[in-house]
Amino acid sequence: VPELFLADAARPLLVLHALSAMTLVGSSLHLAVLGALLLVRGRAPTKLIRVHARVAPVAFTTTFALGLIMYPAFRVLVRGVVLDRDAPWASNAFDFKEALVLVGIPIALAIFAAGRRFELPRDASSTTLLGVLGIALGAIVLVAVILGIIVTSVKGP
Amino acid sequence: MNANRAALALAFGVVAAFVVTAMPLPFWYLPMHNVLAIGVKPKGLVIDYYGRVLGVVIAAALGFALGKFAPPSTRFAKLCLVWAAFGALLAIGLSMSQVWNRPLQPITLPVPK
Repeated sequence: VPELFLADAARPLLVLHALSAMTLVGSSLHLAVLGALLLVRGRAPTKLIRVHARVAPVAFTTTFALGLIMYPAFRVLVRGVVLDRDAPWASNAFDFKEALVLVGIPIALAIFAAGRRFELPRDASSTTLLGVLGIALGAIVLVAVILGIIVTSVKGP
Repeated sequence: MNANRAALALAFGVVAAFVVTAMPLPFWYLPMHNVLAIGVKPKGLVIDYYGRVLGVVIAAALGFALGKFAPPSTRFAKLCLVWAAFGALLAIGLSMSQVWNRPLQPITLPVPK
């Protein structure tokens, strides 16, 4: 069996990845609701926007980095050996999740840049941008988490 | 103006996401040997995702830096947003078409004696 990068730590890393993803889901869905308020009403609680425009990108980066660290072990031991043989649809779903999250990187960066010091009426020109990005990040994170749960539960009940 | 920097980082990053989905960067990780390789795609099991991530991060950072020189207008931010939405749809659609019913080759690990 080849020496895979951090294969022994894969399970604790997966737990941390899931915990970080929980934070990300909570924060990004808050941001999605705030974004919808910004688009519909043109205003929303700015303090909450500032909080979640910081928390969501940081949680996104942490979740993503943990996923990248444990990816070699997953790619060989889980996907390569098990999923590609027994559930190729799950491997394909995981690769789609990867591509989806790739689009989330610039969205998270843009939210952090535009929202971390958001104040109305000073930043009224950013409301459309922030509203759309908040909804987009929430949708991407939600789909990614659902796909992640489905893929990790392939061998479950 | 933060909105412009954010909008340009978004546009650059999302377009890069589409480009690297269509054509991975020549940056590979070989998990079985625990090495990185640059250049022609090596044979065997390789991971191209790290190269893709690097491409998107560099493009988004470049957009963020160039946003400093962008015209301070709401129209510019909205144009970037439309451009990014178009790029995101292309990237997601392309990725979906790549993985749809894709045949896969399972790995057989050597059995220790």
